[in-house]
Formats: sequence, structure tokens, C-alpha cells
Amino acid sequence: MTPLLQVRNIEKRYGARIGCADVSFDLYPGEVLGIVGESGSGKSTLLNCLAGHLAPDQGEVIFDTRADGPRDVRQMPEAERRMLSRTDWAFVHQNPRDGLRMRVSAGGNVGERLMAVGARHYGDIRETAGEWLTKVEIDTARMDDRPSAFSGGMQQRLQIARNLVTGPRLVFMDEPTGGLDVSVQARLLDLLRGLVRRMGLSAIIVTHDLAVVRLLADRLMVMKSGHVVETGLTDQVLDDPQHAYTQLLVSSVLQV
Amino acid sequence: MIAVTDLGKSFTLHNQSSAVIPVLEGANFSVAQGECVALTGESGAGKSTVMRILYGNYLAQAGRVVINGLDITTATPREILALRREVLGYVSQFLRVVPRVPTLEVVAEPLLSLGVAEDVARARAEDLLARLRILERLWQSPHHIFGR
Repeated sequence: MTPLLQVRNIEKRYGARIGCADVSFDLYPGEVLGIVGESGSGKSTLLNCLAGHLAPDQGEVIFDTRADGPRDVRQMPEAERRMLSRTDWAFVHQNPRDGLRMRVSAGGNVGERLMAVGARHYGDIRETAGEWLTKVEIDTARMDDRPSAFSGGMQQRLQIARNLVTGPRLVFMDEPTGGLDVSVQARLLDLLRGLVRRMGLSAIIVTHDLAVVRLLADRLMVMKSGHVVETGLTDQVLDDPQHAYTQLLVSSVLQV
Repeated sequence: MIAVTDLGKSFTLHNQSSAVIPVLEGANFSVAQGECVALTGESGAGKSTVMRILYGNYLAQAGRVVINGLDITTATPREILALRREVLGYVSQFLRVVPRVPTLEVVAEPLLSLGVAEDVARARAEDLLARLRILERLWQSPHHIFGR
């Protein structure tokens, strides 16, 4: 099987400081990879390099495109890369405001992605948008309201609907449960887990929350100071951590 | 089916002055297809550690564990996940389930991940829950099933 994404020796520096370095991995279709580490460990920098939001100084990000097979995303013309990020990729931001258009209705936010990939029939777009709102547990009666009138949890669910409506093959998530209170987080995780399983999504999830990766990720990468210090099956890394930093991370989690 | 050779396991506690705790050394055994083998021993003897290594949950420091032709001490996460999906089951002392996911879905999930149709998987789950005498009104909620 061809990996969906092959990452080779990604390095990003901010002047003399290392953002991330020597990062390589393969992601196969249907796999969910969790990237954990404390703030400043380079996990968000890495995610942004992979998703094309930041230009890495070195390395390759090879995506298995529908039309031409594996291609280095960094060598693609800008237009092609933008097309990819509208069609095959999705990016769920920690802050829904970064991923939503706050002045456009909830239905419009979802419909816009559909129109970006060529949908033109208003009735169909509205119907699909309505279906997706229901999937993410937003009452369709709220379809014409702006997200600014939504709670934080609803905004995040709307952002997820907007991202998944076009059936992306790869989803990047940056702290998707970050700004939410605990009960809302739990519901969002259930929802994400269901969607990931049902749609067979491939995803890369960056988080500092080990509970999130325990539930969602097949395997883990642990980052510290810009480098990957440990990788493995999620439950193995969490239950039998090998690296000093991972042991510290796991033992620092408060047990309720 | 299962061949364990010279299995060794120790825990290195890096944050406690790198203390090394030996748990297993030179463990050898094999299990043939259709056989039922019990690991017995006093508390702390390493029974659970062996089981966890067999399931890929703990890493081994020495030796080989071949299950169904795959050496899980060197296998990739993908290979272990596939083995768990298709070959291994694991009944734990503690069930780690996702809170709020209904019992029926927890039971049906392994079949769904094998690509079995939803109605077939649910029917099979219902059948098993009924056989294990779990009251039908508890099927929709995991909260009320305690350790009895």
C-alpha cells in the first residue's frame, strides 16, 4: 500500500532557533497519527509545515495525489497546492474563529466549501449543509444564524462540519479540543471518534492532551525541543513509555 | 500459534535516578492452535506483563514473540494493529471504554473496523450481550455496567 503522506527530514528554523528538525514518518490511509509534546516542542510548527501554512527550510512532504500519485507538495505551484487544501485536505484550527467565517451563516460556512469544489445547485448545497449540521449535532433551525451567536463547542463542531463536508482524504487538527470546557471536550471527542471511524479518515492530530490521543490516535509521535523523541503504538507509548521525557509527560497527567 | 523465546522485560525509570526494574528474564513457552494455556503465579510475578507484551502494549527488551507468523517485538504499529483487528482479542481486568459511547457500540466496534456492515455487527453484538446476560436496558449506556 502506498502511504498517503510521506514526510522526509522536515526542518524549520526561526533564525538560530529550531522549530522542528529531522522529522520523518509515513501516514497510511485510514491511519490517525497523534503528535504530543508540551508548548514550544515544535508540534504546531511541524503541522503547519505539513499543511503548507509554513515553508519548511528542508525536507519533503509527499502526498499521494488522486491524479498523479505521490508528489512533493512543496514543489507544486501555489494554485495546485491551494486546490489540494480545498479538496483533499482539511485543517481544523484550535480556535474556530481561524477556521470559520464569522459573518457568514452556519449553513453558508458549510456550503462555501462545497461551492469551492464546484457545487452550484442551491437546493443541493443547502440540503448537504443541513445533513452535516445534523451530523455534528447542530440543530438545523440554527442554519441561518451566524457562528458568532454560537457557543464555543458549537463553533468547533461547525468548523469540523465545514472541513469534512467535501470528504477530504487527510485532516490536520491543531488542538481541536483546546479551548473547550471538559464536558464539551468529551462530547466533541466522541463525535470526532465516530466520524474518524465511519469515514475512515486519515488524520494528524496535534495536542498536548494525552486523553485526546488515547481516544483518537492509532499511533503517536512525542516531540521535545523540535525533535521526535519517541514513536509507537498509542497505547504502548502511553503505558510503557521509553524516553525520559515521555515518562515525565505521562506521569504528569492528573488522575481523577 | 504463539512462540515466546528468551523473553526479557525491564522498566527503566528515567525520572527516578534511572532505576532499572527487572520484570522478566528468559521466558520461553509456546501455545498451539486450539490450546488454552493459563499463566499462573503470585502477584508481581509478571503474568500481566507477559500478556501485555503479547498484545503489543508493552515493549520487550529481549527475546522474540511470534504470533501467527509476526514477531511483535519488531513489528510496526500498523502490523500490530492489523494483528489486533484480525487475530488477537484481549480481555482486560479493566475495560477502558470511551465514556458515553453506548455498550452496544463498544461491542460492535471491532466488527465495524473489520468492515462488517453496521446492521450485521449490531445484531452480533446484541446476540453476545444477550448471551452474557447483560440486561437489555443497559445496552444503550455504559455508565450502569459495573464490575459484576
